[in-house]
Amino acid sequence: MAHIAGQSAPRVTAAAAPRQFLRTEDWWAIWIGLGLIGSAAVLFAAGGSLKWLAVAPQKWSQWSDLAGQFHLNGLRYASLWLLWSTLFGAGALALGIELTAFLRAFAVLFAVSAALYVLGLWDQAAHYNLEPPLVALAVGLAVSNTVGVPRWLEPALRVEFFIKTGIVLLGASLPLTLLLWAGPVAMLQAAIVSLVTFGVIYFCAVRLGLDRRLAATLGTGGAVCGVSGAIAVGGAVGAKRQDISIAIALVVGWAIVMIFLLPLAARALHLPTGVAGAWIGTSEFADAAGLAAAQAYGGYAGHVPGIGGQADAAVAAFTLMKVIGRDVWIGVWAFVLSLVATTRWENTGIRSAPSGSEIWRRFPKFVLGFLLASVLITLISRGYSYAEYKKDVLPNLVAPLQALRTWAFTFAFLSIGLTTRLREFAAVGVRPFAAFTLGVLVNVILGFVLSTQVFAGFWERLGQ
Amino acid sequence: MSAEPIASCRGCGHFRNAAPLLEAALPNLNSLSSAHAAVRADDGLCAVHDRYVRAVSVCDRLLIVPAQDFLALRDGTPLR
Repeated sequence: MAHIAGQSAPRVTAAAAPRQFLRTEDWWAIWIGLGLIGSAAVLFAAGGSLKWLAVAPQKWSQWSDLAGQFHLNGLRYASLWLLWSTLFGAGALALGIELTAFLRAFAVLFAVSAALYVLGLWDQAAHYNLEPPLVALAVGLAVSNTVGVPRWLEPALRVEFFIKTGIVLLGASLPLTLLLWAGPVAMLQAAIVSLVTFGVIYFCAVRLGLDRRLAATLGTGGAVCGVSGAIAVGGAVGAKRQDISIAIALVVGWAIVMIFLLPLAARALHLPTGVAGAWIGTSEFADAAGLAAAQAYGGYAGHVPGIGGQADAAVAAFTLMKVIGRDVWIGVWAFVLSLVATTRWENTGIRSAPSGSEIWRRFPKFVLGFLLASVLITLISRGYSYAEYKKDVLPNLVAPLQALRTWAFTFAFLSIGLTTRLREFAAVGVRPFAAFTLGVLVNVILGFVLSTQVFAGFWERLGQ
Repeated sequence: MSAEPIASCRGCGHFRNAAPLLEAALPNLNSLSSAHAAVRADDGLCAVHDRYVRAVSVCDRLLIVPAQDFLALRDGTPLR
């Protein structure tokens, strides 16, 4: 039985404000990431280490090496699978995903991820350009768009859950001093690119006669944080469902192109890892896509002649630029655009009062976990000299967390390909494609100039 | 669960914001984002206007339903 509004308006027991700290992937990524870091810290303080559990394949050249590794570490791999199953399973259950379905699918995801991790450590991998993130993506895309992904595998393909957990763990590798030193530059560069890219897409779309809500959704998708930006602003301004689908198709399509294109271009130009990471962070659209590109590029360091800098610098620069520089502003974009939509744009028949609380409600909370992780590790390592840090803290505390982060990222990279179905892309039309693509071109060129010319010295130092 | 005024999309029978339903309605949403992400807040789809809207929005066509129907609707079950 239903009533139409305007008749008696009863009060019903409806959904309460959801307990966000248990109902979003962001918060679960924080609990899992900080839980692992806290456990590692406790073990380290007691003279132990998480490294037994945080097992990772080592370099290998012959099948016999590899077989020996797995024979020796079989129990450790089984324990690691159990750990991830427990942690991600708890999160999945809280998110409403059936636990047994998740666990069954996750076992397969773990096994394939392990195979990709192993492949990346083959001593000929760099020679054949077998960078694990790119291989994971390519394999996933090939399966998803040819034979198809079996439905029973879908519950475990949670790209955002894995990538956010990995980013929180990444905070343990970046000291707070680095964030304070590099954060302002990253924010400045990201602000320039975000404002210009949004402006180009928005005004081009409006000039082409597209609805302003679609223009704003496309603009934030290209300028701020990809699909997440598009759904945040699409909801804030009340975009049509088709507008959201168009934005998703354009963002995902271009993001996947950029995963392959940006590392390839940076490699051809012999950009240092820090510089390339900053460029990818400026010009990729989504965290998961950008991290795949940045990690792939970091893998070239020490293997491809002419590419300088440390391997981790690409991921560090990317994260500073994308997560700190761009992602954290999504709530502000949503609030400002909802204000403009309400007061300046045509009426859709739906009324919504903009509220400043929108900024916090849409804040990507996992960033807090990333920052807390950095603070925690900085405090723990404060009393150590650099030599002691390298000898004790790095191998016993930080390195196991880096291995766990690589696992989480690998789950995500594989899931990107497996969840991207090209045939399900919405028909975007020529005008949205033209407006968005122009923004992509401006974004890539401006990001390149800022990363390799204006702030080049800064990003190069990050990689040393 | 708590009582709250129905006068917004959050309590409207035309409003759908369950995460699985959104991910099914918006193909490829979960390939680089998620309906479980904090940035989504509690936005959802309006079946009348075919728009993606904030849960605190209002319009002249709010469909008020009893609580048991509301919960079923929110999760995508047809109204009985």
